[in-house]
Amino acid sequence: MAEPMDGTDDLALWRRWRSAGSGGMTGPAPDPLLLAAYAEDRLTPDATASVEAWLAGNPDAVEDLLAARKAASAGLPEASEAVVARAMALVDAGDAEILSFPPPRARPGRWRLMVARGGIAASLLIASLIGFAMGNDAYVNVASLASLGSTQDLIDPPGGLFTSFDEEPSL
Amino acid sequence: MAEDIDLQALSRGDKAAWDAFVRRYAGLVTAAVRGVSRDGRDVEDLVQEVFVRLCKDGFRLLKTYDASRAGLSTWLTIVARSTARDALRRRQLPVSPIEAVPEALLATESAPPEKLKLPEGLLSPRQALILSMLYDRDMEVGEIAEALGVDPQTVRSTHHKAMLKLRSHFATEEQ
Repeated sequence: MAEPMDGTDDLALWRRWRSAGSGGMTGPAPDPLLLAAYAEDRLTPDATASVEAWLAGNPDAVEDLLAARKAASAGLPEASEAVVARAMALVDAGDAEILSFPPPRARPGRWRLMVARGGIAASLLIASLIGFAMGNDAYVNVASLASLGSTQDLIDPPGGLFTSFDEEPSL
Repeated sequence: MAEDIDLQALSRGDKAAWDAFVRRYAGLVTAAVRGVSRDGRDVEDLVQEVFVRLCKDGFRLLKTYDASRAGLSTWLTIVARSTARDALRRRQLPVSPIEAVPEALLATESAPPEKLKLPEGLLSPRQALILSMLYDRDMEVGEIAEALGVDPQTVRSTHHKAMLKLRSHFATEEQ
């Protein structure tokens, strides 16, 4: 202790107090949110006293409070990319509830997308051309058959029930 | 600031919200952990332990955070330091250079512990805390004032009143 407050005697008195079993509460730590609220002076007097009683028996946590107060007023420091990437990997895209679209980082590279889209377009074009060609061939064939049939009719007209308007139809 | 992070989406496990949270606060967690770890080699592993604790069991710990009670940076610092300390305790016994140990802890006392009947509330929690910080942690008055968010004169005054009580109590006991 830097302050000249009759340090030696005071220290002895404090040790005597400590050795008698007093000095602070032991037991589980308060909730981190409670400690954080204490660090920001947001607690009621009763809650403050409760936290301080625990802190008196757990002096390690006092440094947590000091660090927390400094963190609250300071800017956010940067971290290394390795640390960031490792922590990000803890949550997979598949764990997320919102899965309508993959996150930007999950998409394949641009060139792969372009190749894929080009392939699809080419397939559609080829299928269209084939379909057109097949349809056109069929049309030509049908048209040819239709014209051939009419010519035959002139040479060899079909026979049937009503070959002459003069005869009575057979029963 | 917590306002820049969608806490609801984060606690639901939204990937984009998690990535934004990590990118924003990984530096703060690293700084907090570095204050606990004596050995710089463990820092990255300890940082990962903190984020594991935050997201495990369906983000259970993260869901306990309430922005109306404390700032996110403050809460994260406390979580990070306590997680790192617990992890270090699990891994190994703490080793500190002798120069870093407060003198009060190095002193040996041969006197057996007293079996005093101590009155309840002789020292207020704050008085006990300040004496603990002064004599157990060997902290400076200025450091204590900063940790408690009070004026240094308040620390001195509280210390003085506490010592008066202790002297009076032990003087009465000896009579």
